[in-house]
Amino acid sequence: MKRPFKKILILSPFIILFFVVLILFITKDKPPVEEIKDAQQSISQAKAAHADKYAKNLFKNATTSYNIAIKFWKEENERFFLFRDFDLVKEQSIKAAKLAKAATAESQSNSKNLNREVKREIDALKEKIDFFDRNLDQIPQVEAFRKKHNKGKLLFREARLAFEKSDFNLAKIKAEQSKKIINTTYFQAETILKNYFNNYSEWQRWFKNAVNYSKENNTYSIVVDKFSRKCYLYYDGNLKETFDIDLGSNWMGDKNQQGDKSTPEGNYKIVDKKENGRSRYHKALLINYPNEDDLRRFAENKRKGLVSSNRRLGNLIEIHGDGGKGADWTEGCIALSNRDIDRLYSKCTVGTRVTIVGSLKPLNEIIK
Amino acid sequence: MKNKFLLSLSALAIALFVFSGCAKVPQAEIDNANVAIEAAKTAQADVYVPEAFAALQDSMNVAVTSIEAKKSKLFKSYKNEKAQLINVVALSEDVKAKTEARINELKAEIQQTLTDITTIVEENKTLMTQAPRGKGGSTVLMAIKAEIATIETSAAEVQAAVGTESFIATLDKAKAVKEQATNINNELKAVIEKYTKK
Repeated sequence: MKRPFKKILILSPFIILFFVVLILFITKDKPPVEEIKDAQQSISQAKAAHADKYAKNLFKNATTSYNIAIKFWKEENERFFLFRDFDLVKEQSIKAAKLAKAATAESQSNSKNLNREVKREIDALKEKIDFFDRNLDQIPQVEAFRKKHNKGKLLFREARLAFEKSDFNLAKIKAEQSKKIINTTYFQAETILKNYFNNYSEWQRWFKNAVNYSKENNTYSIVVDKFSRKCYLYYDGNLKETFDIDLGSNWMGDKNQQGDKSTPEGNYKIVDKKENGRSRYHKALLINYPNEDDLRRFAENKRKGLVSSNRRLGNLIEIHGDGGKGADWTEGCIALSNRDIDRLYSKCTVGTRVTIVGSLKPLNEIIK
Repeated sequence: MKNKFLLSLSALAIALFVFSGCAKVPQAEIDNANVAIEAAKTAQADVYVPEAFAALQDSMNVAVTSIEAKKSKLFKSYKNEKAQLINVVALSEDVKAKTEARINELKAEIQQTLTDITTIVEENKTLMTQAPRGKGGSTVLMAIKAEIATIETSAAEVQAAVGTESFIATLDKAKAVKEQATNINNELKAVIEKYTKK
């Protein structure tokens, strides 16, 4: 009787310890597996919603919290099971899931807003580029910055392609790069055009005088509109004929010196009619360029140093044939198709008034 | 007596060992999987096959979670996790292969687009000679000429960029250049057609 009692007495602390440990093991802090899985799933969903692009900070914070949770979990698992505490793991994984869900929502909202914003920007850019191509690209002075403008157009296309691929961030970057260039070139071209149209009121006056002259004298008057590439023939104050014309490649602006390939602007008259081999271009109507105004302006430009002192003003500006090419190819003359010059030639005489203006339409009608 | 006491102590030690876990964490498999994922990342799987790469990372995360969860269990076996990790390695190889395939696909597409650009530019140059000295004037003709020059420069830039940046970005640039070249081509054709009808 004595021996079993002694055995039990010896083993009892171990048995008690065993049961205590067992109870502790059963009741110990449970690892937050569900919370971790929820965090994982939420982060995957956030990634699928492109939160890494459109809700960068939230997504980054979510993954950081998740990584901390996993790190803590691993560290706790290294400890003796009785001393493991998963509170921080749980806290971080819950935080990660919460942040990831917020990142998903923010990403969806941001990408939607960005989509709208970039689309607006792309549409505005397209409108500007189309306008430039339609109205400003024909300005000779644009040549100086056309390369830059083309680069802007290329970036615009890249922006549109990125937009079509739903890469709104890239689309925005490209659109902004394009906008920067296009706005500059647009502004430069628009300024050139606006400066050119500063003379519009004078052109209007010349035009009215030309029409009135034809009315008062029952005669013909020729009006050349450089911008629209048209030549109008008036008789007795009424428009009788309209012809297409070709000009010099540097057509915009007044003629400043010989060889500048520009067509003069002002009031002139026909001083000679050339045919039967006297003209290289079928038939020609020579005008009295340079007139007094041209000579005065040329002298003033020389004095101001705008024209080099050894330059000459040039002469032999004609309305001639061989035109109708749809191109600005002359040295500054006004070229009509041979059929049209025949008609014009037959109606005009030496002394017929020729008025050359930049445009008959105001700028706001041209820039629609 | 002494022997029995030692026996009891050993039994307790064994019990404690059982409590705290007998199976070993598959560290070698974890390391292999991590190396494989890193290799896929080095191959730029996250750039060229982002969805497949995300799925790969998800698989690894599931395996890690499962392993850590097992560490708290009384009787544990990492058999399933080992299988998961082996699968991650295989998946990494697959993702890597897909990345390489996608890169080759993009390279081929870039080269094809560049060839197309060259063909269109050549055609545009020929069309320029047929155009009525420009469609609306020599200024416009010069504008088109300048645009063709920009396209040629840009195409050369795209060619030079191959391999120096993401192939996706290079392809996008090439596509934009091709679009611009095609646009001019259509413009010129329309003008010539109009001119011929006249």
